[in-house]
Amino acid sequence: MVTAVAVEQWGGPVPRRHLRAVSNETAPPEAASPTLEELLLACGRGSSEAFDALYAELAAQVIRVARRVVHDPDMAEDVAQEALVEAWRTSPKYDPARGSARAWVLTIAHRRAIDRVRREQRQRDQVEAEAATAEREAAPGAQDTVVEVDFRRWQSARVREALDVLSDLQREAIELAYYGGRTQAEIAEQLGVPLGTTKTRIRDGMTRLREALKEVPR
Amino acid sequence: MSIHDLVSAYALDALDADERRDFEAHLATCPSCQEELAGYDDVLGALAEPSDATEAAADDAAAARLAASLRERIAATEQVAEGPSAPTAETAEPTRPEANVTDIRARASAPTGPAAGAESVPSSMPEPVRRQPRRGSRLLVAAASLLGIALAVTAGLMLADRGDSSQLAADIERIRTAEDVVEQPLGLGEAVAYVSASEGVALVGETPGLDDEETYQVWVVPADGSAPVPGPVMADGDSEVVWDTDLDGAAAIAVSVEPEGGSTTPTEVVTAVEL
Ligand SMILES: [Zn+2]
Repeated sequence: MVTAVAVEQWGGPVPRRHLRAVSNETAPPEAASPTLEELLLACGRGSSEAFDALYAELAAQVIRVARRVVHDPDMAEDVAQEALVEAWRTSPKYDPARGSARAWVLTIAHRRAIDRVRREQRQRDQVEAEAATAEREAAPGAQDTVVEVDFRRWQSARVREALDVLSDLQREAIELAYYGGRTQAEIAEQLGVPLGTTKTRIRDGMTRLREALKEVPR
Repeated sequence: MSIHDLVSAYALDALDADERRDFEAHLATCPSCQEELAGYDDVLGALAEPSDATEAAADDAAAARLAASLRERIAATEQVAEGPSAPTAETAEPTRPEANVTDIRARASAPTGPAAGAESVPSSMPEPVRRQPRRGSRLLVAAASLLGIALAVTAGLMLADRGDSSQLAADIERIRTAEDVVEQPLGLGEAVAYVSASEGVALVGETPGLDDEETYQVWVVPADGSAPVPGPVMADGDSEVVWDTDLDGAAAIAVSVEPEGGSTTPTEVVTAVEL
Protein backbone atom coordinates (compact mmCIF):
# COMPACT_ATOMS: atom_id res chain seq x y z
CA MET A 1 0.00 0.00 0.00
CA VAL A 2 1.22 3.45 -0.87
CA THR A 3 0.61 6.02 1.82
CA ALA A 4 3.09 8.66 0.78
CA VAL A 5 1.02 11.63 1.78
CA ALA A 6 -0.99 10.09 4.59
CA VAL A 7 1.45 11.26 7.25
CA GLU A 8 0.85 14.88 6.43
CA GLN A 9 -1.46 16.68 8.74
CA TRP A 10 -4.49 17.87 6.84
CA GLY A 11 -4.44 21.61 6.88
CA GLY A 12 -6.40 21.76 3.70
CA PRO A 13 -6.23 24.57 1.20
CA VAL A 14 -9.20 26.80 1.77
CA PRO A 15 -11.15 27.19 -1.44
CA ARG A 16 -10.28 30.53 -2.97
CA ARG A 17 -13.86 31.67 -3.24
CA HIS A 18 -14.38 31.18 0.47
CA LEU A 19 -11.15 32.97 1.31
CA ARG A 20 -12.21 35.94 -0.73
CA ALA A 21 -15.57 36.13 0.95
CA VAL A 22 -14.11 36.02 4.43
CA SER A 23 -11.12 38.27 3.95
CA ASN A 24 -12.74 41.04 1.99
CA GLU A 25 -16.01 42.30 3.35
CA THR A 26 -16.23 45.05 0.80
CA ALA A 27 -15.82 42.71 -2.14
CA PRO A 28 -18.58 42.96 -4.74
CA PRO A 29 -21.28 40.35 -4.28
CA GLU A 30 -20.59 36.93 -5.77
CA ALA A 31 -23.39 37.43 -8.27
CA ALA A 32 -21.41 40.19 -9.94
CA SER A 33 -18.80 37.78 -11.32
CA PRO A 34 -19.93 35.45 -14.08
CA THR A 35 -20.69 31.87 -13.19
CA LEU A 36 -18.67 29.05 -14.72
CA GLU A 37 -21.70 28.25 -16.85
CA GLU A 38 -21.77 31.80 -18.21
CA LEU A 39 -18.06 31.61 -18.91
CA LEU A 40 -18.36 28.30 -20.73
CA LEU A 41 -21.26 29.63 -22.81
CA ALA A 42 -19.13 32.68 -23.68
CA CYS A 43 -16.33 30.31 -24.72
CA GLY A 44 -18.87 28.73 -27.03
CA ARG A 45 -19.33 32.12 -28.66
CA GLY A 46 -15.57 32.31 -29.23
CA SER A 47 -14.49 34.48 -26.29
CA SER A 48 -10.89 33.75 -25.40
CA GLU A 49 -11.20 36.09 -22.40
CA ALA A 50 -13.91 33.82 -21.04
CA PHE A 51 -11.60 30.86 -21.60
CA ASP A 52 -8.89 32.60 -19.58
CA ALA A 53 -11.31 33.12 -16.71
CA LEU A 54 -12.56 29.54 -16.92
CA TYR A 55 -8.99 28.31 -17.07
CA ALA A 56 -8.12 30.22 -13.90
CA GLU A 57 -11.00 28.53 -12.07
CA LEU A 58 -10.67 24.99 -13.41
CA ALA A 59 -7.18 24.25 -14.75
CA ALA A 60 -5.72 22.94 -11.48
CA GLN A 61 -8.76 20.70 -10.99
CA VAL A 62 -8.44 19.41 -14.54
CA ILE A 63 -4.78 18.57 -13.95
CA ARG A 64 -5.69 16.70 -10.77
CA VAL A 65 -8.47 14.70 -12.39
CA ALA A 66 -6.02 13.67 -15.09
CA ARG A 67 -3.35 12.70 -12.56
CA ARG A 68 -5.79 10.62 -10.50
CA VAL A 69 -6.32 8.47 -13.58
CA VAL A 70 -2.96 8.47 -15.39
CA HIS A 71 -0.76 8.86 -12.24
CA ASP A 72 2.26 10.16 -14.18
CA PRO A 73 2.50 13.95 -13.55
CA ASP A 74 3.90 14.87 -16.98
CA MET A 75 1.34 12.77 -18.78
CA ALA A 76 -1.37 14.30 -16.59
CA GLU A 77 -0.37 17.80 -17.67
CA ASP A 78 -0.42 16.69 -21.27
CA VAL A 79 -3.87 15.13 -20.89
CA ALA A 80 -5.11 18.21 -19.04
CA GLN A 81 -4.05 20.44 -21.91
CA GLU A 82 -5.74 18.17 -24.45
CA ALA A 83 -8.88 18.20 -22.32
CA LEU A 84 -8.94 21.98 -22.01
CA VAL A 85 -8.46 22.40 -25.75
CA GLU A 86 -11.26 19.88 -26.25
CA ALA A 87 -13.48 21.85 -23.86
CA TRP A 88 -12.81 25.01 -25.86
CA ARG A 89 -13.38 23.24 -29.16
CA THR A 90 -16.70 21.71 -28.14
CA SER A 91 -17.95 24.57 -25.93
CA PRO A 92 -20.45 25.76 -28.60
CA LYS A 93 -22.31 22.54 -27.85
CA TYR A 94 -22.43 23.05 -24.09
CA ASP A 95 -25.95 23.11 -22.67
CA PRO A 96 -26.29 24.07 -18.97
CA ALA A 97 -29.43 21.97 -18.67
CA ARG A 98 -27.26 18.87 -19.16
CA GLY A 99 -24.79 19.47 -16.36
CA SER A 100 -22.72 22.14 -14.63
CA ALA A 101 -19.79 23.69 -16.46
CA ARG A 102 -17.36 22.22 -13.96
CA ALA A 103 -18.78 18.70 -14.28
CA TRP A 104 -18.74 19.07 -18.05
CA VAL A 105 -15.08 20.10 -18.20
CA LEU A 106 -13.91 17.62 -15.56
CA THR A 107 -15.72 14.80 -17.35
CA ILE A 108 -13.89 15.64 -20.56
CA ALA A 109 -10.63 15.43 -18.60
CA HIS A 110 -11.65 12.11 -17.05
CA ARG A 111 -12.44 10.57 -20.43
CA ARG A 112 -9.29 11.90 -22.01
CA ALA A 113 -7.26 10.44 -19.17
CA ILE A 114 -8.90 7.05 -19.53
CA ASP A 115 -8.27 7.12 -23.27
CA ARG A 116 -4.61 7.86 -22.65
CA VAL A 117 -4.19 5.09 -20.10
CA ARG A 118 -5.83 2.59 -22.42
CA ARG A 119 -3.71 3.66 -25.36
CA GLU A 120 -0.50 3.38 -23.37
CA GLN A 121 -1.59 0.04 -21.99
CA ARG A 122 -2.45 -1.26 -25.43
CA GLN A 123 0.93 -0.27 -26.79
CA ARG A 124 2.76 -1.81 -23.85
CA ASP A 125 0.72 -4.97 -24.19
CA GLN A 126 1.60 -5.33 -27.83
CA VAL A 127 5.27 -4.60 -27.39
CA GLU A 128 5.50 -7.04 -24.53
CA ALA A 129 3.16 -9.63 -25.97
CA GLU A 130 5.77 -12.10 -27.08
CA ALA A 131 7.95 -11.91 -24.01
CA ALA A 132 4.91 -12.11 -21.77
CA THR A 133 3.72 -15.27 -23.48
CA ALA A 134 6.98 -16.96 -22.60
CA GLU A 135 6.84 -15.69 -19.03
CA ARG A 136 3.25 -16.68 -18.55
CA GLU A 137 4.06 -20.19 -19.61
CA ALA A 138 6.87 -20.27 -17.06
CA ALA A 139 4.85 -18.76 -14.20
CA PRO A 140 1.12 -19.09 -14.83
CA GLY A 141 -1.09 -16.65 -12.96
CA ALA A 142 1.67 -14.20 -12.15
CA GLN A 143 0.42 -11.68 -14.70
CA ASP A 144 -3.05 -11.61 -13.20
CA THR A 145 -1.86 -10.06 -9.96
CA VAL A 146 -3.66 -6.78 -9.46
CA VAL A 147 -1.41 -3.96 -8.33
CA GLU A 148 -3.09 -2.49 -5.31
CA VAL A 149 -3.25 1.26 -5.28
CA ASP A 150 -4.28 3.19 -2.25
CA PHE A 151 -6.72 5.70 -3.69
CA ARG A 152 -6.77 7.62 -0.42
CA ARG A 153 -3.55 9.29 -1.43
CA TRP A 154 -5.55 11.11 -4.11
CA GLN A 155 -8.32 12.23 -1.78
CA SER A 156 -8.86 15.36 0.22
CA ALA A 157 -9.61 14.90 3.91
CA ARG A 158 -13.17 15.92 3.16
CA VAL A 159 -13.58 13.20 0.53
CA ARG A 160 -11.96 10.58 2.78
CA GLU A 161 -14.36 11.44 5.55
CA ALA A 162 -17.35 11.31 3.24
CA LEU A 163 -16.25 8.03 1.65
CA ASP A 164 -15.99 6.49 5.11
CA VAL A 165 -19.77 6.74 5.32
CA LEU A 166 -20.10 4.30 2.41
CA SER A 167 -19.96 0.54 2.69
CA ASP A 168 -16.63 -0.95 1.61
CA LEU A 169 -18.29 -2.42 -1.47
CA GLN A 170 -19.84 0.89 -2.48
CA ARG A 171 -16.58 2.71 -2.00
CA GLU A 172 -14.67 0.09 -3.97
CA ALA A 173 -17.04 0.38 -6.93
CA ILE A 174 -16.86 4.16 -6.97
CA GLU A 175 -13.07 4.19 -6.66
CA LEU A 176 -12.64 1.67 -9.47
CA ALA A 177 -14.87 3.77 -11.69
CA TYR A 178 -13.30 7.11 -10.89
CA TYR A 179 -9.62 6.37 -10.33
CA GLY A 180 -9.52 3.16 -12.34
CA GLY A 181 -11.55 4.55 -15.21
CA ARG A 182 -13.67 1.43 -15.44
CA THR A 183 -17.24 1.12 -16.61
CA GLN A 184 -19.90 -0.56 -14.50
CA ALA A 185 -19.66 -3.65 -16.69
CA GLU A 186 -15.88 -3.80 -16.31
CA ILE A 187 -16.16 -3.46 -12.56
CA ALA A 188 -18.72 -6.24 -12.41
CA GLU A 189 -16.40 -8.46 -14.41
CA GLN A 190 -13.33 -7.59 -12.37
CA LEU A 191 -15.08 -8.20 -9.05
CA GLY A 192 -16.99 -11.23 -10.31
CA VAL A 193 -20.36 -9.84 -9.25
CA PRO A 194 -23.54 -9.40 -11.32
CA LEU A 195 -23.83 -6.18 -13.31
CA GLY A 196 -27.03 -5.26 -11.47
CA THR A 197 -25.22 -5.50 -8.15
CA THR A 198 -22.48 -3.20 -9.38
CA LYS A 199 -25.01 -0.69 -10.66
CA THR A 200 -26.77 -0.69 -7.33
CA ARG A 201 -23.49 -0.18 -5.44
CA ILE A 202 -22.59 2.79 -7.60
CA ARG A 203 -26.03 4.36 -7.45
CA ASP A 204 -26.43 3.96 -3.69
CA GLY A 205 -22.80 4.84 -3.05
CA MET A 206 -23.02 8.03 -5.09
CA THR A 207 -26.21 9.07 -3.31
CA ARG A 208 -24.61 8.51 0.08
CA LEU A 209 -21.42 10.26 -0.99
CA ARG A 210 -23.40 13.26 -2.17
CA GLU A 211 -25.30 13.47 1.11
CA ALA A 212 -22.18 12.86 3.21
CA LEU A 213 -20.32 15.67 1.50
CA LYS A 214 -23.11 18.05 2.51
CA GLU A 215 -22.39 17.16 6.13
CA VAL A 216 -18.61 17.50 5.98
CA PRO A 217 -17.41 21.10 6.31
CA ARG A 218 -15.24 22.46 3.51
CA MET B 1 -33.19 -0.53 -12.97
CA SER B 2 -34.71 2.10 -15.17
CA ILE B 3 -32.73 4.56 -17.23
CA HIS B 4 -33.32 7.24 -14.55
CA ASP B 5 -31.13 5.18 -12.23
CA LEU B 6 -28.09 5.75 -14.42
CA VAL B 7 -27.67 9.43 -13.50
CA SER B 8 -25.05 8.84 -10.83
CA ALA B 9 -23.07 6.39 -12.98
CA TYR B 10 -23.18 8.93 -15.78
CA ALA B 11 -21.93 11.65 -13.43
CA LEU B 12 -19.15 9.31 -12.34
CA ASP B 13 -18.33 8.56 -15.99
CA ALA B 14 -18.87 4.83 -15.46
CA LEU B 15 -21.11 4.15 -18.47
CA ASP B 16 -19.80 2.56 -21.63
CA ALA B 17 -20.16 4.43 -24.93
CA ASP B 18 -23.52 2.90 -25.87
CA GLU B 19 -25.07 3.39 -22.44
CA ARG B 20 -23.78 6.95 -22.38
CA ARG B 21 -25.36 7.74 -25.73
CA ASP B 22 -28.68 6.28 -24.63
CA PHE B 23 -28.57 8.10 -21.34
CA GLU B 24 -27.69 11.42 -22.94
CA ALA B 25 -30.66 11.06 -25.27
CA HIS B 26 -32.83 10.46 -22.22
CA LEU B 27 -31.22 13.27 -20.22
CA ALA B 28 -32.12 15.79 -22.90
CA THR B 29 -35.80 15.20 -22.22
CA CYS B 30 -35.88 14.35 -18.50
CA PRO B 31 -35.97 17.32 -16.10
CA SER B 32 -35.75 15.04 -13.07
CA CYS B 33 -32.49 13.48 -14.31
CA GLN B 34 -31.14 16.93 -15.17
CA GLU B 35 -31.88 18.09 -11.67
CA GLU B 36 -30.33 15.01 -10.08
CA LEU B 37 -27.24 15.34 -12.25
CA ALA B 38 -26.74 18.91 -11.05
CA GLY B 39 -26.76 17.49 -7.52
CA TYR B 40 -23.56 15.56 -8.24
CA ASP B 41 -21.61 18.69 -9.13
CA ASP B 42 -20.24 18.92 -5.61
CA VAL B 43 -19.17 15.26 -5.67
CA LEU B 44 -17.14 15.79 -8.84
CA GLY B 45 -15.67 18.97 -7.44
CA ALA B 46 -14.74 17.20 -4.22
CA LEU B 47 -13.03 14.36 -6.09
CA ALA B 48 -10.94 16.99 -7.87
CA GLU B 49 -9.94 18.67 -4.60
CA PRO B 50 -6.23 18.58 -3.74
CA SER B 51 -5.21 15.85 -1.32
CA ASP B 52 -3.09 18.30 0.62
CA ALA B 53 -1.59 21.78 0.47
CA THR B 54 1.50 20.51 -1.38
CA GLU B 55 -0.57 19.10 -4.21
CA ALA B 56 -2.67 22.25 -4.34
CA ALA B 57 0.41 24.44 -4.70
CA ALA B 58 1.98 22.18 -7.33
CA ASP B 59 -1.17 22.14 -9.45
CA ASP B 60 -1.72 25.88 -9.20
CA ALA B 61 1.87 26.33 -10.34
CA ALA B 62 1.42 23.88 -13.22
CA ALA B 63 -1.77 25.64 -14.29
CA ALA B 64 0.02 28.99 -14.32
CA ARG B 65 2.96 27.53 -16.24
CA LEU B 66 0.71 26.04 -18.94
CA ALA B 67 -1.58 29.06 -19.33
CA ALA B 68 0.31 30.77 -22.14
CA SER B 69 0.69 27.70 -24.33
CA LEU B 70 -2.98 26.82 -23.76
CA ARG B 71 -3.96 30.25 -24.97
CA GLU B 72 -1.89 29.65 -28.09
CA ARG B 73 -3.52 26.32 -28.63
CA ILE B 74 -7.09 27.52 -28.33
CA ALA B 75 -6.31 30.39 -30.68
CA ALA B 76 -5.32 27.77 -33.25
CA THR B 77 -8.29 25.50 -32.55
CA GLU B 78 -11.45 25.74 -34.59
CA GLN B 79 -14.59 25.31 -32.53
CA VAL B 80 -17.36 22.92 -33.45
CA ALA B 81 -20.65 24.19 -34.83
CA GLU B 82 -23.22 25.30 -32.29
CA GLY B 83 -25.86 22.97 -30.95
CA PRO B 84 -26.18 21.44 -27.51
CA SER B 85 -24.70 18.05 -26.90
CA ALA B 86 -23.07 16.15 -24.09
CA PRO B 87 -19.35 16.35 -23.24
CA THR B 88 -17.88 13.86 -25.65
CA ALA B 89 -19.98 14.32 -28.73
CA GLU B 90 -18.16 12.86 -31.70
CA THR B 91 -17.57 15.73 -34.04
CA ALA B 92 -15.42 14.26 -36.77
CA GLU B 93 -17.99 11.91 -38.15
CA PRO B 94 -17.67 11.63 -41.91
CA THR B 95 -20.69 12.87 -43.77
CA ARG B 96 -21.84 12.40 -47.34
CA PRO B 97 -19.05 12.99 -49.87
CA GLU B 98 -20.51 16.09 -51.54
CA ALA B 99 -21.49 17.67 -48.26
CA ASN B 100 -18.08 17.00 -46.82
CA VAL B 101 -16.12 18.66 -49.57
CA THR B 102 -18.44 21.64 -49.41
CA ASP B 103 -17.97 21.74 -45.69
CA ILE B 104 -14.20 21.71 -45.97
CA ARG B 105 -14.27 24.49 -48.52
CA ALA B 106 -16.73 26.53 -46.53
CA ARG B 107 -14.63 26.28 -43.43
CA ALA B 108 -11.49 27.06 -45.36
CA SER B 109 -12.88 30.30 -46.70
CA ALA B 110 -14.62 31.38 -43.50
CA PRO B 111 -13.04 34.71 -42.54
CA THR B 112 -13.56 34.39 -38.78
CA GLY B 113 -13.39 31.49 -36.37
CA PRO B 114 -10.15 30.59 -34.67
CA ALA B 115 -8.28 33.40 -36.35
CA ALA B 116 -10.52 35.90 -34.57
CA GLY B 117 -9.41 34.39 -31.27
CA ALA B 118 -5.78 34.67 -32.29
CA GLU B 119 -6.00 38.43 -32.58
CA SER B 120 -7.06 38.79 -28.97
CA VAL B 121 -4.04 36.89 -27.69
CA PRO B 122 -1.67 39.28 -25.94
CA SER B 123 1.41 40.07 -28.00
CA SER B 124 3.63 39.06 -25.10
CA MET B 125 2.71 35.48 -25.89
CA PRO B 126 5.71 33.20 -26.52
CA GLU B 127 6.06 31.50 -29.88
CA PRO B 128 4.30 28.14 -29.97
CA VAL B 129 6.67 25.28 -29.34
CA ARG B 130 5.27 23.32 -32.21
CA ARG B 131 2.95 23.95 -35.05
CA GLN B 132 -0.69 23.22 -34.57
CA PRO B 133 -2.80 21.57 -37.20
CA ARG B 134 -4.83 24.21 -38.96
CA ARG B 135 -7.83 22.50 -40.38
CA GLY B 136 -9.63 24.05 -43.24
CA SER B 137 -6.37 25.42 -44.56
CA ARG B 138 -5.71 26.03 -48.23
CA LEU B 139 -3.81 22.74 -48.28
CA LEU B 140 -6.96 20.93 -47.42
CA VAL B 141 -8.72 22.79 -50.20
CA ALA B 142 -5.94 21.62 -52.49
CA ALA B 143 -6.57 18.04 -51.45
CA ALA B 144 -10.30 18.43 -51.90
CA SER B 145 -10.00 20.10 -55.28
CA LEU B 146 -8.04 17.15 -56.56
CA LEU B 147 -10.99 14.83 -56.17
CA GLY B 148 -11.80 13.09 -59.37
CA ILE B 149 -8.39 13.45 -60.97
CA ALA B 150 -7.35 10.02 -62.17
CA LEU B 151 -3.97 8.94 -60.95
CA ALA B 152 -1.90 5.99 -61.97
CA VAL B 153 -0.31 4.43 -58.95
CA THR B 154 2.14 1.61 -58.72
CA ALA B 155 0.67 -1.22 -56.77
CA GLY B 156 3.66 -1.16 -54.48
CA LEU B 157 2.52 2.08 -52.92
CA MET B 158 -0.54 0.46 -51.48
CA LEU B 159 0.61 -1.00 -48.25
CA ALA B 160 -1.35 -4.01 -47.20
CA ASP B 161 -1.48 -5.58 -43.76
CA ARG B 162 1.82 -5.05 -42.03
CA GLY B 163 1.84 -8.57 -40.69
CA ASP B 164 1.82 -9.51 -37.03
CA SER B 165 0.74 -7.06 -34.37
CA SER B 166 3.98 -7.03 -32.44
CA GLN B 167 5.78 -5.79 -35.54
CA LEU B 168 3.14 -3.07 -35.90
CA ALA B 169 3.50 -2.12 -32.25
CA ALA B 170 7.27 -1.96 -32.62
CA ASP B 171 6.91 0.28 -35.68
CA ILE B 172 4.55 2.60 -33.83
CA GLU B 173 6.92 2.75 -30.90
CA ARG B 174 9.82 3.55 -33.22
CA ILE B 175 7.89 6.46 -34.75
CA ARG B 176 6.49 7.69 -31.43
CA THR B 177 9.95 7.85 -29.92
CA ALA B 178 11.73 9.24 -32.99
CA GLU B 179 13.78 12.32 -32.23
CA ASP B 180 11.91 14.50 -34.72
CA VAL B 181 8.43 13.16 -33.98
CA VAL B 182 5.51 15.60 -33.78
CA GLU B 183 2.34 14.43 -32.07
CA GLN B 184 -0.93 16.02 -33.16
CA PRO B 185 -4.59 15.24 -32.80
CA LEU B 186 -5.70 13.76 -36.09
CA GLY B 187 -9.04 15.52 -35.96
CA LEU B 188 -10.80 12.21 -36.35
CA GLY B 189 -12.42 10.88 -33.20
CA GLU B 190 -9.73 10.38 -30.59
CA ALA B 191 -7.01 9.40 -33.03
CA VAL B 192 -3.55 10.91 -32.82
CA ALA B 193 -0.99 11.37 -35.59
CA TYR B 194 2.70 10.80 -34.94
CA VAL B 195 4.72 12.26 -37.78
CA SER B 196 8.46 11.78 -38.11
CA ALA B 197 10.40 12.78 -41.23
CA SER B 198 12.95 10.08 -40.51
CA GLU B 199 10.67 7.20 -39.40
CA GLY B 200 7.31 7.79 -41.05
CA VAL B 201 3.72 8.27 -39.98
CA ALA B 202 1.71 6.44 -37.33
CA LEU B 203 -1.99 7.04 -36.72
CA VAL B 204 -3.27 5.58 -33.47
CA GLY B 205 -6.57 5.68 -31.64
CA GLU B 206 -10.33 5.57 -31.77
CA THR B 207 -11.85 6.75 -35.05
CA PRO B 208 -15.57 7.28 -35.76
CA GLY B 209 -17.46 4.26 -37.07
CA LEU B 210 -17.98 3.78 -40.80
CA ASP B 211 -20.43 1.85 -42.91
CA ASP B 212 -19.58 -1.81 -43.46
CA GLU B 213 -18.11 -1.35 -46.90
CA GLU B 214 -16.05 1.73 -46.08
CA THR B 215 -12.56 2.27 -44.78
CA TYR B 216 -10.25 5.14 -43.92
CA GLN B 217 -7.20 5.76 -46.08
CA VAL B 218 -4.11 7.84 -45.42
CA TRP B 219 -2.63 10.23 -48.00
CA VAL B 220 0.39 12.43 -48.36
CA VAL B 221 -0.55 15.77 -49.89
CA PRO B 222 2.46 17.15 -51.82
CA ALA B 223 3.26 20.83 -51.36
CA ASP B 224 3.69 21.38 -55.09
CA GLY B 225 0.00 20.78 -55.74
CA SER B 226 0.47 17.42 -57.41
CA ALA B 227 -1.95 14.61 -56.73
CA PRO B 228 -2.13 13.13 -53.21
CA VAL B 229 -0.06 9.99 -52.75
CA PRO B 230 -2.21 7.09 -51.58
CA GLY B 231 -1.21 5.34 -48.39
CA PRO B 232 -2.47 2.42 -46.33
CA VAL B 233 -6.08 1.87 -45.40
CA MET B 234 -7.14 1.99 -41.78
CA ALA B 235 -10.15 0.38 -40.12
CA ASP B 236 -12.64 2.43 -38.14
CA GLY B 237 -12.97 2.12 -34.39
CA ASP B 238 -9.87 1.36 -32.38
CA SER B 239 -7.21 1.32 -35.05
CA GLU B 240 -3.53 1.74 -35.71
CA VAL B 241 -1.67 2.22 -38.94
CA VAL B 242 1.95 2.80 -39.80
CA TRP B 243 3.23 4.25 -43.04
CA ASP B 244 6.92 4.34 -43.71
CA THR B 245 6.71 7.03 -46.34
CA ASP B 246 8.92 9.79 -47.69
CA LEU B 247 7.64 13.11 -46.36
CA ASP B 248 10.04 15.19 -48.43
CA GLY B 249 8.02 17.89 -50.15
CA ALA B 250 4.84 16.91 -48.33
CA ALA B 251 2.50 19.63 -47.10
CA ALA B 252 0.01 17.53 -45.17
CA ILE B 253 -1.15 14.11 -44.17
CA ALA B 254 -4.79 13.64 -45.09
CA VAL B 255 -7.30 10.94 -44.21
CA SER B 256 -10.24 10.09 -46.44
CA VAL B 257 -13.16 7.72 -46.39
CA GLU B 258 -12.96 5.19 -49.22
CA PRO B 259 -14.71 2.09 -50.41
CA GLU B 260 -13.30 -1.06 -48.89
CA GLY B 261 -9.75 -1.73 -50.08
CA GLY B 262 -8.88 1.90 -50.69
CA SER B 263 -8.59 4.08 -53.78
CA THR B 264 -5.96 5.72 -55.92
CA THR B 265 -7.54 9.16 -55.57
CA PRO B 266 -9.23 10.43 -52.42
CA THR B 267 -13.01 10.12 -52.44
CA GLU B 268 -13.93 12.00 -49.30
CA VAL B 269 -11.24 13.82 -47.34
CA VAL B 270 -12.33 14.01 -43.70
CA THR B 271 -9.30 15.48 -41.99
CA ALA B 272 -5.76 16.66 -42.63
CA VAL B 273 -2.75 17.43 -40.50
CA GLU B 274 -0.53 20.14 -41.86
CA LEU B 275 3.20 19.40 -41.72
ZN1 LIG C 1 -34.72 10.50 -16.18
